[in-house]
Amino acid sequence: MSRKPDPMHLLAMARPASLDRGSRISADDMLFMATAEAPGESSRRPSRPRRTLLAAPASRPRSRLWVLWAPLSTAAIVALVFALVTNLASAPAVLSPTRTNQELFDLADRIEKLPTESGAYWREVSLDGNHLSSGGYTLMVVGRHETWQPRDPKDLGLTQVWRQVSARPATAEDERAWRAAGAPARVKGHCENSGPCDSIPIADEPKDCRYTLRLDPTGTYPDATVSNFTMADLAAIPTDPAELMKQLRAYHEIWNGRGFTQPFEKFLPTTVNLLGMPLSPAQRAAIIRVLAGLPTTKVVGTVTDPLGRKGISIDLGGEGGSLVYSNKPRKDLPVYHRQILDPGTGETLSSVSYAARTALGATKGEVMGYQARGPESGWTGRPASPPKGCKKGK
Amino acid sequence: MPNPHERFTALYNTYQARVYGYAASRAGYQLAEEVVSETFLVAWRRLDSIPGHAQLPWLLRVARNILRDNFRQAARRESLEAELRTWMEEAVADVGEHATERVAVLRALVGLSEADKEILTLTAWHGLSTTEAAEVLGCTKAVFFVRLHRARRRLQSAIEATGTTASRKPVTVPGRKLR
Repeated sequence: MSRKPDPMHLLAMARPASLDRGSRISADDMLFMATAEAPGESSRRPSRPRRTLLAAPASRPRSRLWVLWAPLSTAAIVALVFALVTNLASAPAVLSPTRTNQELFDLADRIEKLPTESGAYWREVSLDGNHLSSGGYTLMVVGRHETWQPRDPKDLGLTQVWRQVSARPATAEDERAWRAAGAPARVKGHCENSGPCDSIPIADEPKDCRYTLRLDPTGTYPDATVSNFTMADLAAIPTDPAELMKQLRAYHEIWNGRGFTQPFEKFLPTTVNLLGMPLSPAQRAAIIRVLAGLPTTKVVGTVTDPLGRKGISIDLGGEGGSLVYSNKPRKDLPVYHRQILDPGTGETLSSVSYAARTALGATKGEVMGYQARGPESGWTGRPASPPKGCKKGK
Repeated sequence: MPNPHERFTALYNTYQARVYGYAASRAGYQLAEEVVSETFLVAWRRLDSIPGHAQLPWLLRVARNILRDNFRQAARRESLEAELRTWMEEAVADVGEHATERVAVLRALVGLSEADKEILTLTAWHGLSTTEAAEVLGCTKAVFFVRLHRARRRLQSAIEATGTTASRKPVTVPGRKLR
């Protein structure tokens, strides 16, 4: 005679294993959110001062509005940095920090004496990732571009752009969901705003590389978010703290000349962008010490960046921003930003935006966008001409 | 004694997955992440009042309140139903032991009330003892036993109504095409 199976036993057997996967929010990020959102609990705050100055890290601002998909000119980038930093206007008084951010001071000490590298060109490989929800799974839409900036302005500068972005499942679980959905070869992009509405191929890498060669006798470095630099200007950034501060004040004056009105201390977080530029280790160490001393800077902890590299995640303060999904009301998602630094060199690994709440297909703490420096970035020799696998662009 | 940050970090690392699993089983993964963060924000604010001997029931009770207060019942139900469909599809695709029975019990679970789903999964999926589960629900052990007994009986009836416990025919899930 057969017995009826125990329904509780059957139910226990049917327990989905995915219930154990846990939150994607790290303990560090949770602690940070908790300390930031419980102002009445001052006794529980970390020893570092509470964020009081809402400075938006200006680094890689292009990634902040990735969903607009529009390539931004330098002027637009500067305007965006301005817009983010203006959020500081009503910030409460700045606290004087004690020796907080020790990890950054330690990083500066570690890298200061590293040998200075050099080369004929500074290669900057930039990979942009953007979150896309599609059919019950999440994809990262990845784009790529490169610049080869000559040390000598008499040499040609090279720019490479991959015109076809690619999408790939964000996690192993998303890949399973994508496969379960029949592994579609293409997905539809965001269509309600200014971005591309065309379908995006699922592929490991962006495709359709186009290159341009250009002679710029002024030798202007392509990233003008901190100031207007030549390679010689960058090489001359002082390492002496007093001299460096004087130089940063000069950059601030240039900023103000562009129409901004932020005081100096609110401009300073922007200097994190220098950590992705051709500086010597001693120069990077000096910049890192400046950033570590800012009352708005907070080391979040060691994280894995979107390219899978271990890095030091820092919060430079700021209200974050929002991703605009549509012109319709209530279709924007607040995000916060982190800068991830290489613990071995102090260089920028990536700038990452995370969802600040669960909405619009994103979960709180999920990576919504990033701009990562490819591992090939750095000093190098002359590029191949023409670059391999790349067609001449207009 | 560890400082509050260390205590909180330890609490989070120990229980976040359990809270996440509970929230997902009540309202699907879509809402679970937010429930976890809201729960631990409450935990941070009330760190000193969390009973050391019953941290998990305390956290799940907070999560339960957040689910009730912050999310409309319809939103919770829709999100969970979507998740249950996915779990059924996964069970259908699974050729492992008792796959058919697992599909049948999940299908039976879909048809139960939210309260029955909760009481059953608290014990069968989240491994809570009777005392702990009663604490989460805010009732006595005796009341919990009565509710569990009734929920269990309804689950048994629902399984039998599906008529698939002994069959191997595929299950069609409403709203999804099976591959």
